[in-house]
Amino acid sequence: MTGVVSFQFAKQFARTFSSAEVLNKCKISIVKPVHHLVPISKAKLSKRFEGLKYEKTDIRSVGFRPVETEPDRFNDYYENTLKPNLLLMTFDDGFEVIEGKKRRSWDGSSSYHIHREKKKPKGVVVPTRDITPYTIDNLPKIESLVINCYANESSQFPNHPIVAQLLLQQITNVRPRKIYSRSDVVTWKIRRNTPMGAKVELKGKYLSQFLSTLTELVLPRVRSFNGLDNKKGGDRSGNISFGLTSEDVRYFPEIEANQDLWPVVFGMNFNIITSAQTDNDARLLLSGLGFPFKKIAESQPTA
Amino acid sequence: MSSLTRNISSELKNVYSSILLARAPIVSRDLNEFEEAYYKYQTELEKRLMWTFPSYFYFKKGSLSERNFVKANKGPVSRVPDVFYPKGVPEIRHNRERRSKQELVIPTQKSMVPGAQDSFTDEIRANPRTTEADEKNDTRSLERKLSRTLYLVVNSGGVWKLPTFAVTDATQPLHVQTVQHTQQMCPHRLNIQTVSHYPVAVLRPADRREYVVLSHLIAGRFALADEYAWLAREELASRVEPAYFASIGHLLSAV
Repeated sequence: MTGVVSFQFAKQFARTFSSAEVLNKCKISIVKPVHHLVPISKAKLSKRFEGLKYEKTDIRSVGFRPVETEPDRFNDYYENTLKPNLLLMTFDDGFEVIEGKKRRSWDGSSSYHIHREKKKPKGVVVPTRDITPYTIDNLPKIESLVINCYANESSQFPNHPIVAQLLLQQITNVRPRKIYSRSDVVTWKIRRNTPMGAKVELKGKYLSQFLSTLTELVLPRVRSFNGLDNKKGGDRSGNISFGLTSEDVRYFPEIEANQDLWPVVFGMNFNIITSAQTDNDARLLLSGLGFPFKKIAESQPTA
Repeated sequence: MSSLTRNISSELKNVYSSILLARAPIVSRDLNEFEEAYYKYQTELEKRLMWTFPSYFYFKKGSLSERNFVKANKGPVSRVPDVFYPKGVPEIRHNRERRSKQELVIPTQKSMVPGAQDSFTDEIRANPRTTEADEKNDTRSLERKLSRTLYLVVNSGGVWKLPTFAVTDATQPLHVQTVQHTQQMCPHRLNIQTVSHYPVAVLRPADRREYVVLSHLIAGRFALADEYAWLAREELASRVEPAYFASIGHLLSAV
């Protein structure tokens, strides 16, 4: 009898996903459970956490943070001044598409070839992209900057990854995430999944802000820094990496202003992800954006 | 080889090169009224939503800097029961009034020590965006219109146009010759960066061909014997002949 009464009540109330309990009396859900085929975070379905449902760019979200607080000087310079020049610099009227190395299919001489996986590209392991002429649509652009700060002595000093995280947050204004060791290395006394440092990916406003700090305030003052190398540091698909030592990192204004606060700082690696098709095009872009480069005679020849 | 050279040089009749010498913007672009209001609103919103300033992190307890900071910053009005607050009941968390944005006063040398000289802790004042050349509207100056791209035009025979030279030497590349001619025109040494060895445009007035070479003036004192002007796009439109502007207008930056 009670079952019938609670069933009527259950029909009256809106069914919430967050709890099976409608009345305090009955502890068993009479409504048939919904078996979700997609993972659902129940906390977000609850009416208590309305602000968590939205994207962080939505003003209703609890994590909303205004981004367009000032004109993006760095991006304006790229769009208005650099882009027209890059278009002219990369123009070549005799340019033909250079085909990348693709996976090779089997010749079909055996019936077993039909469903066999294609062969590796010749000379390389991973297929490479075609290199096409540049137009206004595919001009090189910096897409993001990944900063990787690895604290070597984290196994002895477990607070070092936290310092690294804080360091990155101070100089980039973006929340970093921890990185973990991937494997056990006995000689370095590292175990798998030990926090070893921090990493952050910069995009948009924060990227522009960081790059202008780096090129205008930090790099010109690093005495040992003679410029990026013309031959090294690229990954052959238009992404350039370089590093700064822990002494160089002290030149960041946020660190320099509070020297007492930073008894330990770490060196870091920068990976500049660009949409350039070759490393030289990426260097052309970086040079235009104010990165210093070594003189060609100083650069090491490729091995 | 010599016959080839002779053939080319025989075709060099009526070939000219123009230099589109640009001075890139020096300061950030000008904002219109709406943009200014929009950015101001977003900035204030960001300040309002900002987390409480972690003064315990930046000012070590018991240090002189902490004392200065506490002295400069009056704490919020604390909440006491049975007290009427005309501006609403305060809501204090971690020594911050939650209902409004957090106002912080940075202790400066001036504010701490009366009669002290300026120091790096004092407020940073930006230089003015307009210069003396702007006030006088001195079109010969390179310090005019800092937020815009300026282009060099010269007055040759009563007609304003880009500096144009006759191409006579068939052995040298076009862009090299153009820069050399520009250099000869100016008594001071110029630091010119030519963007590409390709010209940006070909103008065909009557039976002649004028190749336009794009360059940037990086540094150097600039003065010419002839009458010249550094103009932004819309000024250039009113200075040169309409037909001429129609042929080069698309090469000029609107910013």
